[in-house]
Amino acid sequence: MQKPLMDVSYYLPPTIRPIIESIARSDPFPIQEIRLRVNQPLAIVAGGQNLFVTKQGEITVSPSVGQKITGNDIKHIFMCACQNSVYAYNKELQNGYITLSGGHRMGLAGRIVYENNSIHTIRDLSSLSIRIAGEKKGCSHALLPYLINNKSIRSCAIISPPGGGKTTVLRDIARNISLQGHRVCVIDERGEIAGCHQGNVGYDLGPSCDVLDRCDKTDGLQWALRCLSPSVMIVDELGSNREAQAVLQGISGGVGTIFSLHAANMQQALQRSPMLLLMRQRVPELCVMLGSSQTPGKIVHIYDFSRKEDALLVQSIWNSSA
Amino acid sequence: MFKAFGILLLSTIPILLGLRKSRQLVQQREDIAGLLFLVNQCRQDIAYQQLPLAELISRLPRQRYKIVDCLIKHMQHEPTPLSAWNKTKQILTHQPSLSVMNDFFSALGTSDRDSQIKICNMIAARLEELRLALESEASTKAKLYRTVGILAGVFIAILLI
Repeated sequence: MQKPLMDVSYYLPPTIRPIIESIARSDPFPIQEIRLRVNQPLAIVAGGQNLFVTKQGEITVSPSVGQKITGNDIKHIFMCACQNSVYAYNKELQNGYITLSGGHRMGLAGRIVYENNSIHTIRDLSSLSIRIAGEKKGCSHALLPYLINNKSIRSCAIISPPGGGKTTVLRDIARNISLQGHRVCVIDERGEIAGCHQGNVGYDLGPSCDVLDRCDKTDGLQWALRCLSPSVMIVDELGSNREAQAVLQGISGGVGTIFSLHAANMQQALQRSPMLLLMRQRVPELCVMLGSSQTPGKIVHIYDFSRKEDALLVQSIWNSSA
Repeated sequence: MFKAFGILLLSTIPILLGLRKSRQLVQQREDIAGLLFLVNQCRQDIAYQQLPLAELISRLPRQRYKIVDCLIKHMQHEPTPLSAWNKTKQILTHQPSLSVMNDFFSALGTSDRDSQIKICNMIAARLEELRLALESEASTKAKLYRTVGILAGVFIAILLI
């Protein structure tokens, strides 16, 4: 049985819930996403492939036989995810997602409402994409010898395209480092790493892990440094120079930082401005490339900048991309 | 013996009816006060704490207003505040406030914080109007119903004796 899928089924309307529950029970293969679009068939993503689900719960490649989704279904899921309190989720809505209990992320699409040149909210929802959070214990074992160096933790970037398993790897790193007695602080802006719900950490993050739930990365990094004296800080999806600056501050404060970044390869990563900013300051010490969405959580390559050949290789990629 | 019992019974009926009607007016006044309290608490919690509605309602102080107690009780078993209200509203006898609160619960939780605060303000203003109208009605009519009931009872008793 796929427990994460059963968790997600709580949010689904009575027309779709039994279908998803029957898939969760039969457990044909791990499902990465559920996609719901108004007047379109119920779709799932498994192994990086788009598939459709019939009313009987059968999985097919033909969209014409898929269970049709209505506007009411979308509204039901949205209101259930918001706990019937849209006002309490304004910040998440401005960012285009809601994190469900268990750390599953529900992406939203619809009509975007602007106010003062910035996104105010979203209305008239037309589609939802529920990404199922997976827990793969042990997926970061190969990385640990590189990360822990003479009882200190080296700073590290986890790089992969969307769906590559960055959050899953970060979660496993947090647990493994925490199990080894290091104080870990997770700054969980989207609530996906720890899957916190009403103060309870949803995933096993080990005995020495503190979580700043739904905290802005920049604020969280400073908060953790000031108040929690961590050995290492973990943040998901570094996206702006401001966040990169906060990481630099943490590292200059003597605390290793492990973060993830969206990019398909090293060349693309070096074209992103937060990564560029960090690399100019010789941060991070390690870069870990993960596979595509077909093999989430699989470590493809580790660039260790203390090794001359890796440093030279990245330097050449950097030069070519510049 | 039977005659005395019959006279007592017949004269008690109008007295009880008068008292019941008068009590109903007082209860309606109390219900509106409870609803106003509920709307104001919602506005305050939405503005400052942004708690989800289920949590917000469950945190309301109990044993102060019957209608709020009833809503808290139903909220424990119902999936949405609207469905909890649909069960709670059965005890509300004041029709104008019922329609105001139906509007309130169908709009509650469906929009952003600023809109919710505006809705709460509007509903509170409408309830306040109803409360003032009921206040003046209750102060005069409650006494009237009570007096008419007692007089009718006494009149029936005299007539039968």
